[in-house]
Amino acid sequence: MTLFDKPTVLVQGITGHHGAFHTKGMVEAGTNIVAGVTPGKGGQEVHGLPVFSSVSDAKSAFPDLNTSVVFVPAAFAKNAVVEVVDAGIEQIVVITEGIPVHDALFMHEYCTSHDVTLVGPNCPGLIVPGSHKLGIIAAHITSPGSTAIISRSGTLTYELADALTKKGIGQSIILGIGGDPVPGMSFVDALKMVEANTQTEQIIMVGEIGGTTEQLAADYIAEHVSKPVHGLIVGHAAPAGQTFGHAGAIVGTDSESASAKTEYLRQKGIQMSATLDELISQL
Amino acid sequence: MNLLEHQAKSLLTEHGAPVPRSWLVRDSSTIPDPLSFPLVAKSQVPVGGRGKAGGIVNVDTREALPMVIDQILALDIKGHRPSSVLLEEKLEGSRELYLALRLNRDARRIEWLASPSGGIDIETNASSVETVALDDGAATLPSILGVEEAALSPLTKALLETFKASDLMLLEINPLIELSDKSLVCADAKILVDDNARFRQPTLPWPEVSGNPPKPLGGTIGCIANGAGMAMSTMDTIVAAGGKPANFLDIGGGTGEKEFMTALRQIMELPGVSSIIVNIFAGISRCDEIARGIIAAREQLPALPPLFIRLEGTNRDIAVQLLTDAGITIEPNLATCIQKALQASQAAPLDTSVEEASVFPTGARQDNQSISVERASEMDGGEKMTNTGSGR
Repeated sequence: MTLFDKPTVLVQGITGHHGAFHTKGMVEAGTNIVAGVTPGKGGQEVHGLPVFSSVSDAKSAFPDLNTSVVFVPAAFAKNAVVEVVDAGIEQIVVITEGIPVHDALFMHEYCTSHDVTLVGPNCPGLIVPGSHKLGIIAAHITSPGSTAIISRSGTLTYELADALTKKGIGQSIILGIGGDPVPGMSFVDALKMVEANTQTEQIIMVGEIGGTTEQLAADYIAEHVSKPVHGLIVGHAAPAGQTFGHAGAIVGTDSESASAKTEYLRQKGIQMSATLDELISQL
Repeated sequence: MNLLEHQAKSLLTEHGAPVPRSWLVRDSSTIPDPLSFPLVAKSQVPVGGRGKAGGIVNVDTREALPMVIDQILALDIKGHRPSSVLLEEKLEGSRELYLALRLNRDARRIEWLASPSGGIDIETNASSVETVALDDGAATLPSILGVEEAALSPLTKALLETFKASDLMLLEINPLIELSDKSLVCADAKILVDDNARFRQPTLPWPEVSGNPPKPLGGTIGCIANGAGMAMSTMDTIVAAGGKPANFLDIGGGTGEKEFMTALRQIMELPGVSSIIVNIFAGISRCDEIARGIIAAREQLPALPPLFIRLEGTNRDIAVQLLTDAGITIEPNLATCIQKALQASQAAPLDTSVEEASVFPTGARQDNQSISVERASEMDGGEKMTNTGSGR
């Protein structure tokens, strides 16, 4: 399955403040959530959904479970991901921020070796407007359509979704891959998925300073993506050597700067904008 | 977090990596005894370029030492004044090598970097630095470095153990010295620790938590936005319009009155700020909460410079009503905010002195003593990371 398919969902950390709040939002956005997990709280209910103490208990009760959304605290996130992979669940979205990068690396390797799709950590998750949402993106600013938004930043995806919705341009998926240095799903992984999705007709990619994942994405686009791609890199005004809010947003080498990335992507045929307003006006 | 050299070496010692004999001193009146001469006195500042700046001095006699210590302690290097000096036995090595472990974010793996030509010339020898996968280290590192496997193997084991046990993102040994008896010693060490691991690394020398202060950028237009991407995008839009942002600040979602007030107060303290732009898109957070913060700030901060406010998203209508009732206008979009902020800043002269002083120490990039792994490995997409916040 892919993130576009309607999933059967488990929420890990459902009894926590954020877990409970966003479970409600996901259900209201049409998501088929069937259960939650919080260790030691099996037998309780949250918004009428049964809570289990372990993922394997939940999976036994609901064999159709194929997706988990993780809200557990950073210190427990690695074990939560291992538990869900071991239970045979196919897709995981980790919302939790502040996860040590060594744990993120382990989560990525563990999921990859078990053929499990991992989105995040430290991300807003995704929404397929009109179908389902996995995470915390506000559904009321989105509308169904054929434009895919892929971004490292959460709030910029909201801003774009809202602007597109107001212009009458609907979205096939809005996906925040997260601001950490080592994400599960990369831009390339996400591009592969939206290129294969028949609903999607154009793609918006929002990158930022730090790393060279946007360049890898540009190489991939030039070779494998037939759909038009509009790009924006934020952080042009950021001096080198400082972290800008996201753990991964720091210019170490010249190639990690916003201007170097913008130029590289432009050369690969991607329609680049200098600012968010410019990007919105071009769509 | 970047560790100071002596902190990095303590960590290495805990895991059995060989470092020179050393003594840490905080003033010239308490010099330990015995010391062995000649030695090297090294300023303990968290930035590179210490040698060039006069922060690393050879000392041949005990008599000369107090004056050198006083000089180093009084020497400001890139805005940092050391609180200690590391006295180290001077190594008479035959060769200077380069060896590092780093987390390669784009390849999503931990890897070795190695070069037989380490020391201060590594920058010009960047092409000599080879990238080696962890699993291939034992087989290929001895030949790349030109050292004996028996000497290297316990060192690489200790470095990898340090890297994993202490949640490091970068561990750079430059130079790694091969002594005449073929043994290896870590003469300098640069360590970058993952800030997200703070909760499980309680013994490391973490700084006091200082909240989320605005990052000064030296311009005239203060900025408050929610979300790191939004805050960067706001800065970029200001620059594209010909302005200069005074700061970067992501106040995050669900910000209350108190946090908003603190943010405004901190931006007002930056020199040269002539106005502040508030750029908020409320997805899960609510515009009316922000509006209440703005109204409270107007009442309680009499010296508040002009605010130019753009609010979109959840409960915008309520927010506009609240602000209108309080006599505060709201701009239709960010472009208008910037236009008005530019007009306001024309009156105030620009203070450019802030920019350099505020730059967080990246250390190695300008460092002649311990060359930057990022520079050395630029060709294969090297990176440099620290971290603070949320990607949401």
